[in-house]
Amino acid sequence: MTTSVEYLEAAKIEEVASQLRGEGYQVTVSPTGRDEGYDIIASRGDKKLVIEVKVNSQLRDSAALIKNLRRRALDHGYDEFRLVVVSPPREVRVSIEKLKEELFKYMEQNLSSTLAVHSVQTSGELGPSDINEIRLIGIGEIDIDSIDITTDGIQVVGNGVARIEIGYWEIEEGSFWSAGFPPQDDKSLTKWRTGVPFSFDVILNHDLTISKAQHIEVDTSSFSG
Amino acid sequence: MLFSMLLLRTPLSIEAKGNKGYQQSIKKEAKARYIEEPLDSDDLYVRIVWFARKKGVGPDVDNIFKRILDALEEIVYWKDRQIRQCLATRIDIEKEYTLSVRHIPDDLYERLVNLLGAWNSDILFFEVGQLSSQQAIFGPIDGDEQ
Repeated sequence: MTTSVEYLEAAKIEEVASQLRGEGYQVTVSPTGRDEGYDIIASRGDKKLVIEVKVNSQLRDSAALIKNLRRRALDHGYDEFRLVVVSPPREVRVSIEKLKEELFKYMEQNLSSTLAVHSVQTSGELGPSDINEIRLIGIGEIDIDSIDITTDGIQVVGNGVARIEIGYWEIEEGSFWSAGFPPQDDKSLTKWRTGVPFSFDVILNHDLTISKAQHIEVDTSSFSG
Repeated sequence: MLFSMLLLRTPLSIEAKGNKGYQQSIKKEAKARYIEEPLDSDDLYVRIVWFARKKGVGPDVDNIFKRILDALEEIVYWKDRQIRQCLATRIDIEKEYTLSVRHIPDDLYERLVNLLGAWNSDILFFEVGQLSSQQAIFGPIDGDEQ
């Protein structure tokens, strides 16, 4: 499995290689043979470079290895050994007790105002008149974008995924819309569960209950067009 | 290169108060790294690289020369008038950067890489060397000129 560190380094190696090619260098990524171990070797005219890419958090453990690679490169006649140090975006851990439960409760109680069902009439997709019911069955993957704490409350802005169940009238192929549609018989109702993104901007009381929702919107465009 | 050293701290501006301890710490490390007679040459350069841990914190880079150059007097060279060229660079280590070094000793290079990974404090790197000619170079100060 590729870790985020490996991914970051691999992406940077590709970026640097591409940049050097743009500057007219002949570039080899992950060379073999005598130059095995270097991330990139590049040459242009008489100038020969070795480039090593490392994520900042790996520097300490790799210091001896990097020193040896540099020494080997210089001993082998390379003109320059470049160490490119990349930093992953800094993660800040934030959690708010019961935020998920509070959002679920609020969204369930105010379902119609939080759902943004977009109208479509394209064949094969659901339109608002097809949908009989939408039920919120859970929320998760909450990401908090910002928190502002004031004496009035705590403003939390973020996004997440809402699990919803959609009940809709299935139209058989060849059927036509009629004045009597949709049928009133629940047996022809088909239910479908899916996850859709939602965004929120809420004010929490100091006991962490929602006092006001400035904005909560479930984006149903993925199933309604 | 004739002399190089590392110091784990944020540089002080020329305007800063209480710089005695700062200059003492530079002198102490310089003496430990350079035991020969001070250089006589009048054609010296000084390079200062400041690896800053926190973006926007610390003095302006143009204000850090004087204290350092003064501190190295009578240890690495006699007087700072022997210096004909200075370059100070600030590297914000929260962002991407490239180390491109050919001449520093292996042990100092390894220590620098190690310290950069440790992320505990700012790091100052000083280098004093001999200029080989008088050159006025114009244009971009970094990058690979084509």
